[in-house]
Parts: sequence; C-alpha cells; structure tokens
Amino acid sequence: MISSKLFGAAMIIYIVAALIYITYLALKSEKVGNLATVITILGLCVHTAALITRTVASYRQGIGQPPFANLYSSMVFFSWAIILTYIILELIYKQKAIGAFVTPIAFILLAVTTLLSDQIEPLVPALQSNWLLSHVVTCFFGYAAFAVACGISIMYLVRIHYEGMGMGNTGVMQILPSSELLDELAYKAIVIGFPFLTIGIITGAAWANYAWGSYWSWDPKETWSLITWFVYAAFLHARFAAGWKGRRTAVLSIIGFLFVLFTYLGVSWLLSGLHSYA
Amino acid sequence: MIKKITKFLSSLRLTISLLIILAFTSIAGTLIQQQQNPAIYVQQFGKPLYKVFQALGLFDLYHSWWFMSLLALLALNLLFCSLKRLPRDLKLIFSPKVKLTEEELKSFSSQGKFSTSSRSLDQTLETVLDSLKRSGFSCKQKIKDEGAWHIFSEKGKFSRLAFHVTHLSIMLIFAGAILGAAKGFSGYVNIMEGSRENTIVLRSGGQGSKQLDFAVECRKFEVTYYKDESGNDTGRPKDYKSLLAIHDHGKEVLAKEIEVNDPLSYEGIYFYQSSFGEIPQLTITVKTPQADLVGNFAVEEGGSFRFVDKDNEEVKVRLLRYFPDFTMNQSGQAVSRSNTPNNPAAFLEITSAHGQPVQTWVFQRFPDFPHAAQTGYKYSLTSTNSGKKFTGLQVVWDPGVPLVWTGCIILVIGIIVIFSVPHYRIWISISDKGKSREVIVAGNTNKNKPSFQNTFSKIITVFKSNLADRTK
Ligand code: HEM
Repeated sequence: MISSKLFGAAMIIYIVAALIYITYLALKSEKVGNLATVITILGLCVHTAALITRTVASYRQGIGQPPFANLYSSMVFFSWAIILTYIILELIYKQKAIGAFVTPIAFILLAVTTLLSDQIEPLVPALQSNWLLSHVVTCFFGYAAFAVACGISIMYLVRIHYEGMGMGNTGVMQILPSSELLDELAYKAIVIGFPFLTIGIITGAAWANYAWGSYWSWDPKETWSLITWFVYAAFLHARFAAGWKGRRTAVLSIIGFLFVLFTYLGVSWLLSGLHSYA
Repeated sequence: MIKKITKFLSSLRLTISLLIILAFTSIAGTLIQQQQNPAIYVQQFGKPLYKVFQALGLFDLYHSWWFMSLLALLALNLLFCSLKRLPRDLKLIFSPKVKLTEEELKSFSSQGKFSTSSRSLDQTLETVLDSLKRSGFSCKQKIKDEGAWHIFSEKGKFSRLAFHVTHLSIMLIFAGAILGAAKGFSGYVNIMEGSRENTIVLRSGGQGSKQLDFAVECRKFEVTYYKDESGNDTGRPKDYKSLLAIHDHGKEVLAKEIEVNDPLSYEGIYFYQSSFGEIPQLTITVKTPQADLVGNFAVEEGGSFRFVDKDNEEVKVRLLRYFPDFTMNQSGQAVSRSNTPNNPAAFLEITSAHGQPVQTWVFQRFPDFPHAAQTGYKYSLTSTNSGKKFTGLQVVWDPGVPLVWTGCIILVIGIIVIFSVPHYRIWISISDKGKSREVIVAGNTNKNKPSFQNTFSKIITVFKSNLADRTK
C-alpha cells in the first residue's frame, strides 16, 4: 500500500530528526536546532499524507470510516499525535532540546508498526460510529500529550540528578532547559492531555451508550482509562492545589504514562474485554 | 471533633489519597474477571481463596460496599472542599477589596510606580482610567478616600467558579449513576420477524421479567455482510437492521428502522439492536415400515407435530433438541461444534397412544442410523432451512442518563475554563505626594504567571508613556 511506504518514509525522517536534535545538544548550535525542527515538520507532513491516503483507501474499500480499529492504525495515529503535540509545544515554548527525547518515541512506534499487518479491516457494526472516531482521536491526543510529559519528566529527573552531583552546568546540561522550566513544561503538557483524556472517556461512554445502551460497564479497557484519569487527576491536585513540585510530580507523571501504555497495549494483550480490537 | 472531621473531609490530602487508592483498587477488578459463575472461581482459585475473595467482594468489586464507600467518600470530599472555599470565592467575585494600603500594594511582585506633577489629582485619575482602557482593562470600581483614589480592575473573575462547577459536575455524574441504578432497568428481548412482544427478560435482580405498557413489533429484519474480492459474502456482518413498530393501546404510534449505532426510543425506553439469530426450520419425513410416505412435517426446536398411525391412533413427535453441527464432547455429551449445518442432528421424542415416550436421534447425513425400532415408523431429517429470523434487542430505561451527560458536559467545560481562564486583578492608587501625584499599579493572578507578567509589563508601558509629564 502507498500509505505504508509513506509511513516508512516518515519513520526514517524521524530518526534523522532525532539524530539532528542530538547533534544540536552536542554542538549547541541554533542552526542545527532549526534544521531539526524543519526536518521534524517535514516528517509530520509525510506522516499526515500517509494517514490521509490510508483513510481514502479505506473509503475506497467501502469501509467508509477512517481506519482506527486495529493496532497498526492506532499506533501510526498515536505517533502522529505525539509529533504534532510536540511541535506545537516547541513552537510555543521555543525549547528544542526536548525533541531529542520525543522524536525517538515516534520513530519507535512507527518501527513497531512495520512488524504488524497493515491490512484495513472491515469494522464490525458496533464500531461504525462517529462517536468511535471522536473517542479514538481525543484519547490519542491525550496519550500523546502524556507521552511528551513523560519525556520531559525523564529529562527533569536526569537534570536534577546531575545538578545533585554539582554538574548542572556542564556539557549537555547547559543546553537542557532549566529544571524549573522542565517541571513547568511537564505540567503544561499534562494540562493539555487531561481535558483530551476526559473528553475521550466521555465520548467512549457516549458511544457505548449508543451502541449497547450502557454508558459504563467496567470493561477492562474502560476501567484502565479511568484509572489513568485518576492518576493524572491526582497529579493535577498534587501539583496545582497542594503545591507539590519537582521530583514527586515528575515521578507521578512517569507512572501516569506507564498507566497510559498499559491502557493502550497491556489491556488488549493481557486482559479480555470489549475492546479486544485495538 | 466536628471541626477535625470537616477538616479531614475537605482536605486535598484526602483527595489525592482517594484518587490513588481508587486507581489501585480498580486494577484488581480488571485482573479478576467480574461477575462470573461461582463454579468458575472455585476452579480457578480453590475453595479457601474463593471464600476470602468472595467476602472481600472481589468478584463484583465495582459494586462492593467498600468500593462504593470510597466513591461516597470522594463525593463528600468534593462537597466539603467546595463548601469550605465557596464563601471566599463568592466574596472575591462579588465584593472584591478595592482599597489596599500602600504596604499591601508594594508587596506584590508585579507592580509599578509613577509620579506626575503636571496633573491635578482628578486629571491624573482621568489619564489612569484612559490608560487602563488602552491596555484592555476597564475600571470596575473606584473610591475616593482621604484625598486619594483607589481603583480596582479585573478580568476573568467568574473563572473562580469553574473550580466549584467542575467539582459539582462530578457529583452530578454520581447522582445520575445512582438514579439509574436505583430506578432504571435493563433487559433484552428476542422478537421473531413479523411478531410482537411486550415482555422483556431483566438482566439484573434475579433475572425476572418485566411487562412493558406497550408492544414492540419486528416488521422486518435484515443483515448485510462484507463482500470479499469476488463479491461473495464473507460472513462478517457489516450491518444489521430491524424495522420496529411500537403499538400502544392497540394503536401503532411509532415506527423506525434501528441498527447497531442507532436505537429507537419510546417513553424514555431505548431499544438497541444487539444481536440477531435464526430459528432453524427442520423437515422431518415420516414413513411407514413399508416405506410409504406418511408426510413431511415442518418443525422447529421445542415444537411438535402429530400424525395418525395405521390403527387410527394419534402419534405425537416433539423436536427436543437440534444440533446443526453434531459431535460428542470428551464426556460423551452431544454438543454442536458450530452454527453451520455441517452435521445436522435432531433429538426427537415420540409418544404414541400406548406405552412410554421414546427418544431417538436422527441425522440428515446418516439417514440409516438405527433408531428406536419399536416405533415401527421411520423418521428422517430431510432438510434444515435457515427458517425464521429474530432480532435481539437490548431494552434499557435509565432515568439517570440526562444527569450523567449534563455532568460530563459541565465537567469538560469546567476543566477547560480552570486551565485556560485566569483571574487577573489590578489595583491602582493615586495619591498626593507634596507637589506631585503618585500612582502605584499592582496586580496578581491565580494562575499562569508568565502570561500575566507579559500583560502587566504592557500595562506598565502604556502607563509610563501616558503619565509622562509633557512640560518636563
Ligand atoms: C475525581 C474528582 C476530581 C476531579 C476530576 C477534579 C478536577 C480538578 C481539576 C481539573 C482541577 C484543576 C487543577 C489544575 O488547574 O491544575 C482541580 C482543582 C482543584 N481541586 Fe479538584 N477534582 C476532583 C476532586 C477534588 C476533591 C475531592 C477536592 C477536595 C478537596 C478537590 C480540590 C481541588 C482544589 C482545592 C483545586 C484547586 C482549585 C483552584 O485553586 O482553582 N478536587 N480539580
């Protein structure tokens, strides 16, 4: 399929971008940083084109829904949403160093999809719904923002580790954003992700109500997304209202993302329920 | 004591702990399959562990008393937290402090000081109001006190309420869920194409049944399948639809075609397309011992037919079970491997006027399979038809749903407002300092400091250029 070739191209562009971001960390040259951004945006364009091609192909086959219903589709979409969220954050906050941590995530996700079947599968009737579309899109934007937050929190922990050893201003550390800024950025990313996850859970409930007449049935996937939501709600209250900062919230942000990953992948592989398709 | 309890109930520490406890306990319910048959659990865990788990409510965790208590505690937490903060927030919104002392003003991290000697006090006031307007703010209140002007300006004050509204919305969702569980019902009904039903089988509460005040008719049922490349049905259903009609007091009041994501609703009761099936129609051929045809009889599972034997006595034949794909399992029981008629088999009970009922198997593929010979007659299964179709409907009445959706919508709006609308406040004082007038501008925000500092420095620039003394 053409779309698979385009996804492959995007994957290669992302690994190139990751290498340039790392070079940027090493050389601390603005020009290299800008090049990295341009290359990432190029990758994003190719990736977008691939998604569009795949959707068109799905309509051609008479399935008539953007293909989100299997692991392959959701992963290519996930990695797209991560890059998009990251680029937006980068353009707003002008912090390029984070790219070195985020572009590899997108690359790895796309690399995993090359091991999966890229077939567009027909949807069972329950999945043919616009609710499904909004459910999947909002959930994955939430997941993407949490992925970015997790990357930033890891950077934060690395940074304070070096600062603790009195090496906060040596080598690569010089170009990493300050620990306060990293802390703030991780919070910002979660602030973006949380409303998306909330809407994602609600549209999922609306869809279930429309298809089965029950908006909540404690099926494992549903429950895990609620668990993830609890963890990030705890993060927000700790950070915003109770004034926690630094290491403790960074750890919560990383734990939160582990929950996201389990919700996304672990549930389908290890637990059984309604959502066994993706 | 009471004070201690309310303090505990309104504490954020409790919120964070509850959220984390809820997260971790919910995990247990996804690891153990919920609401299964006890026998399955005993097999899985052994009797002693089963008893412990049963006592802890782990097999229906999300409805167990302790999980419910955690949720109730969260609701109380929300309520107390809001009640505690509401008076303060209402005061902030409806009666803000307009006059701050000089010390208070100077303690703000965002502030600026100007002085002008070419303007009178009232002229200075005019310039200040104009400058505020140019910076996109407007004077909300001003008072003159002891020869000095105090001006108060703000933006986004109602975002202070977003916190309460967000937390209230969660209680709305809880309320909706409780209402639905207490008063609603959920069940299912299978309706043959062309017939009508008014009784549904309930899912919860002992599997009773419920009579509706009206009847539902299935006029027509249709399935379409995905086609493969050569245009043949693949057997994967693409869509299934039922044309339903509601008959209330003998009158047809509503008709609608429903499909999987498009239910019908009548008097708040929803009918969802959830499954479908067919009741196979079998033909049993009966011959005399001399192989003369007695007749071909159409029958479905559970149904029966009669014929008159040579002694002019009636024989009744009942179709007890039908297996489209007959096989024996390990323990020697008859089962059907699938729903495809690969090896159709029927289990008949034959009752003649004299003697005991006799039970026997007949197979379509093996018409010569010896069966209970004492009946004399020869029975064979000569055809299986897909027969009559039925539609399977999920029937739900949940009066809590509107509350739940209202809560959800408010929750989303509330969260977005909390995150994106800050409350900016600006205080200005103008006072006489000997020959010149001193203007102090101070401001703060409840969130998003960097963006406020940006706004504030723009305000300062406007003030600076407007208040500059022309004569100097
Ligand atoms: C599942 C339940 C809850 C949800 C989804 C929720 C949601 C939120 C959200 C999204 C924020 C904004 C946080 C931020 O801006 O970073 C917030 C703030 C807050 N929440 Fe909750 N909350 C919940 C339960 C509670 C409870 C039970 C309390 C009671 C102590 C509470 C107390 C607070 C406080 C004090 C704030 C700070 C508000 C402000 O200063 O504007 N929350 N909540």
